[in-house]
Amino acid sequence: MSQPKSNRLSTGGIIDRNHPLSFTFDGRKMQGFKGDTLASALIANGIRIVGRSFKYHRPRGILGSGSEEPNALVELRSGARREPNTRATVAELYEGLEARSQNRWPSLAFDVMEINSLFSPLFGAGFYYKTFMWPKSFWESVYEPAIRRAAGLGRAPEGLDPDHYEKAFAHCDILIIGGGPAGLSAALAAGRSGARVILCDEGPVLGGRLLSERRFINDFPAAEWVRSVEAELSSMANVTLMRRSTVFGVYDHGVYGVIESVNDHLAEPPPYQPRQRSWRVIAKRAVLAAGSIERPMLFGNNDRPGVMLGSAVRTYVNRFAASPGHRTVVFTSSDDGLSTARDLEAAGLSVEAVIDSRPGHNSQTMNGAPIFSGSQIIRTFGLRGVQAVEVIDSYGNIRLIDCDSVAMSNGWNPAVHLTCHLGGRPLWSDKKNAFVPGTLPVGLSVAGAAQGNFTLSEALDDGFRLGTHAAVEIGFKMSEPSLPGTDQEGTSHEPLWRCIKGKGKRFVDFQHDVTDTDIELANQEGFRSVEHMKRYTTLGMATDQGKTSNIAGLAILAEVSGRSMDEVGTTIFRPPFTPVALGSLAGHHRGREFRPTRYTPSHKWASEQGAVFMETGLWMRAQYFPTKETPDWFSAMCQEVTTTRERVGVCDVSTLGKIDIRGKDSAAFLDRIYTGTFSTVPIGRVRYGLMMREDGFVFDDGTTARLGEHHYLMTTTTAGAGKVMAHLEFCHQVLWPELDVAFVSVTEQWAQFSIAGPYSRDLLRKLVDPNFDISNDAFPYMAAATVSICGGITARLFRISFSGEMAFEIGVPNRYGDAMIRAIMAAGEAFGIAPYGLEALSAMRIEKGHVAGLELNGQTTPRDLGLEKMVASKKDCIGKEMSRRPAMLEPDRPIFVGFRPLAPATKLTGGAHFLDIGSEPSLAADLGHMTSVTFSPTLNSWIGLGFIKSGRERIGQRVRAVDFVRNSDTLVEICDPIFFDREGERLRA
Amino acid sequence: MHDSILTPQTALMGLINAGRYGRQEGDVGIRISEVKNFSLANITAFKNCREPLEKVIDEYLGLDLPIGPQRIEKNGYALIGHGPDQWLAIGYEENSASIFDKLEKASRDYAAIVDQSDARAIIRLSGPDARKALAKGVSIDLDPSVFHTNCTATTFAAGLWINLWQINDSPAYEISVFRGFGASLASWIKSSAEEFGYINQ
Repeated sequence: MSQPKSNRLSTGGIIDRNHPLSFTFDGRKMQGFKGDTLASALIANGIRIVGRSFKYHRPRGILGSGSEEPNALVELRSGARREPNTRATVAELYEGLEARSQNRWPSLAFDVMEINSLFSPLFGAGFYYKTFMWPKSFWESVYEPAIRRAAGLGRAPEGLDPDHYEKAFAHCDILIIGGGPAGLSAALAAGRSGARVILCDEGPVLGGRLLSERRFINDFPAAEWVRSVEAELSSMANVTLMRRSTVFGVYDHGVYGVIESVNDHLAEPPPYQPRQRSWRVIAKRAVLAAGSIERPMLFGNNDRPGVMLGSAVRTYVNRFAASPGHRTVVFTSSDDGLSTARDLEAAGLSVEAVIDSRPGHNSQTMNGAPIFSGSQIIRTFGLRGVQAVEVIDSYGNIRLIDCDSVAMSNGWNPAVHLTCHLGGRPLWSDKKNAFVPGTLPVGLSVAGAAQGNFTLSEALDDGFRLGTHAAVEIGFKMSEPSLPGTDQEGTSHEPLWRCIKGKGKRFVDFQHDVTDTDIELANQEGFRSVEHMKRYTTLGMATDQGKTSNIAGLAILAEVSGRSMDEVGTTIFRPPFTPVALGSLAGHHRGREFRPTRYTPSHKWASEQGAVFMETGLWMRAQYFPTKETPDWFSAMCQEVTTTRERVGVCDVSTLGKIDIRGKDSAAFLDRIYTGTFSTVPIGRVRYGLMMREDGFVFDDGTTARLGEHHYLMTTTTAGAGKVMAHLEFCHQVLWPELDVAFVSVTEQWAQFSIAGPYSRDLLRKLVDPNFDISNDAFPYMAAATVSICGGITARLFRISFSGEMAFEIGVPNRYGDAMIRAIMAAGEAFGIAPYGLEALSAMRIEKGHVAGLELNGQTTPRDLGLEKMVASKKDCIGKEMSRRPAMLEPDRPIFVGFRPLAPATKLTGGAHFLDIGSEPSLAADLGHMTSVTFSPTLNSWIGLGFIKSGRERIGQRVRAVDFVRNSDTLVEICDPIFFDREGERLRA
Repeated sequence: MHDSILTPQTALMGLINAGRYGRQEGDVGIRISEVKNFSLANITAFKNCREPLEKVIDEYLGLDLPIGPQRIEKNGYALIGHGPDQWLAIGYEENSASIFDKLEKASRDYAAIVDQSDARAIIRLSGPDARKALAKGVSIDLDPSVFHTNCTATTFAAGLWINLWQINDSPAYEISVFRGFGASLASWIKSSAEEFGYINQ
């Protein structure tokens, strides 16, 4: 390929010519300057084709100059930092930037898939739906994989993103969205009032369109005004200027989503700095000054590289001193096109012709360039870029004009996107030929071009007025500001929705290859609602969200369906305004930090023992303690159970919820909460309690100790701790505010360990200070006391058991938790102690038939659980009446029982359904299901717990336990749920 | 006092190791330390008992009960408004545990005073960039015009329920979470402070 000539103008622009930067595009080395975007640098290097279109793989060039860009999507960076679909128009150039074109093979210049273009009649809108229907079986095996291979743009990065992202909150009185003339004047007015102001702008430099136009304010170049305003704003302590920050969403109550590209303009973020930061800005008022986006023209092959928006041409020439073409044809339906022609000529670039679709002004010239009024471009010609245009004039004469670029101007669309995020619908204005903001989010006003007030003087006026208004509304005092004067500008515009038909596709949506005929087809096939048309044609989808294409599409739909723009309406815009990296929404919270982790008091010690942990809620708990002899969970669990049953075991149970309850009505309160009676529990005793929801289903369980006349300590399940606390607060604050009772969570105040097994008392005797008697007589089953241990440390001792063994729970202030587990292990060594984890805990509770989370599943009543005796008859409690509804008392409700396989070694599975022997599996034949299973080392057999219809009456019978998920069908015998030590003699030993 | 074989550990032991971290150039923006050996009690007034409670509190701590989400500090003790008729009492001094113990006994008829000295981890965060670091998780407005010295909040940050109060204008803050969440709190704070350079004390 020949080296293209440089398109960098010798003077002008706001690039830093003393700061050259080298970069590569598709591996080719090029140079640009600081201040360039990738797009402007490519243009300066004479690059015209930057990508291939999505469907037809047509060569595409740069269309725009901002975040609206549909064509110039590239892969930026490489390896783990590769970012596909980056808009070259907003990517700031940095030293060593690497960019690659996408969606082409083998190369950008020659793309095999361009063959799609030849078959384009087949690939019209909806072709997927029509083409890939038969045979049905082909969908999954052939069509979908093939489409998936062909679809998509760019390649995902390889490996984990090495960069860091953050999220943060900011608050202000007034948020200004956009740093153009309207935004700057709004910020100035608001800032001068003393209000706390945040101004966000997408770009690295404030000024908006003023950076791209040759305009004058107060008779000086507009840049002077921008500089002075920026200086004043920077000097105000109450104003924060956020550059490279895009407001991407508006949410309820004045919350705005902002994405700040902190270090996207560098190859790698400096150490300790994030690449991007997402902000939630909470503002009392906001002024939207997001400007507007220029509309393209629809003529044949309007996607040929070199065809560009007029505003973009002015940006490249004026701001970046990069000329998209040397012989430009300007095609316009508004006075804007005349500015483009003027600016090109001022930069010494040739304008071949001005094609003005508006009637009148015939046979004029502009600086030598002919003006063709009432004329249109029909189509473009050229290989790999525009080389000529075919023009039809008002008399119907057709002529060919040679050129290397086309600057098209077809009016502007106000950037109303953010006004729609809370449901507002834009309204069509015939006067402005555009959709303007409809109902606005509360607290938001719209200034300048975003409101359809396109002139510079209107923008400045709106900005000052709305900035002032916002400040005054929230109580700041303001004097009337004096408005700067501006130079004159023409505003005449008669939009041309599509040109006279010629050969070649007329693209509406460049990103999704949607043409005007696709929209006609949608209408013809009945997709006349704008929402249906969008889905059928894919108009306005993908990364650019139709910023340049939507309105033309709507206008064509209006035309072919014989409706007005008003009647057709528009699709709604949703957040985000521009793509937002998911990493920036997660911020710090990735990997282990995805959510907080809660560590138990013995965690460090357990880690040292090589414990395997599992997450239970946010807690990390030891699942089992592997040893050399028992390296896997099964053998470790069996050993831990055996040691506990035969000798002594210890388990960290600090995660169980602990709620301190005090007040003179605490006994009465607990009687209403629990099914059992707690007002009769003697001081120094513990009782098991069951609580129900209002609907009569069991909610949580645990033991509660009475520590004083008006002082109880409730325990809850680990998972239930938070919701039980909320339940108690609700009952107190809403149901019975008259009761004098107070609750505090003391879960983390105490490190609590269960010490279980025949030697548990002997072990404790070595820890509890000698003046406390813990013999069976002095401290029987279900006793509770405050004791001192290890030489004077206050501890709470409870004689309770979940394992079925003689067991104690000892609670010490958490600061001693780590020392306590080490002391217990040391004291227990002589007795052959082993720590046990959740697996052994669970096995032992199943052996004892204790219900747990799998049984307290929100669908079971005390009767279902075989705990109806726990519901005191002499008093009321929450859920009591509802638990006795007739349906709850049906004789064939599934009831809690135990199950054993006929062959002890046959594995049982949780979730298996019970069926009578001989009956076919069906919903009608279903008798219930298995909730918990374990291998019982004590019984040397698999055992299970579950619910089966008329369970108690069926004890001794056999049923099938069928599990289609794990493909098992096992004969089991129904038995009592207590498999071990039915009489509880070991508990009381 | 006791003479136990058990050695106590602070909530954040090993998590905030002395040294300078994060950005190495320039002045440090933030100082981080663990508040150690504090006594903490949760106070909930019983019905119609605010007045007598106030007297006892004044007698033992020399402090008024703050109204609303405010903090009052004097002589090494602070009271922090925590909810309607609820406060946290913090003692930073060596003997505060025994004072709280006496206070609890003296006000048993007026309030539930529950020891939380072991239930929480507290981090102190100070320096010119402390506010910016906190804004990376705390959603409330920390601008001094809104949240200043002795303001307190019970809020949510980085997935954690936190109690937050400002202790001086430098600014310095204390953040408290349930003890088991200490590691997650420290990790978030340190990560948020890296950009500014921080010193662990």
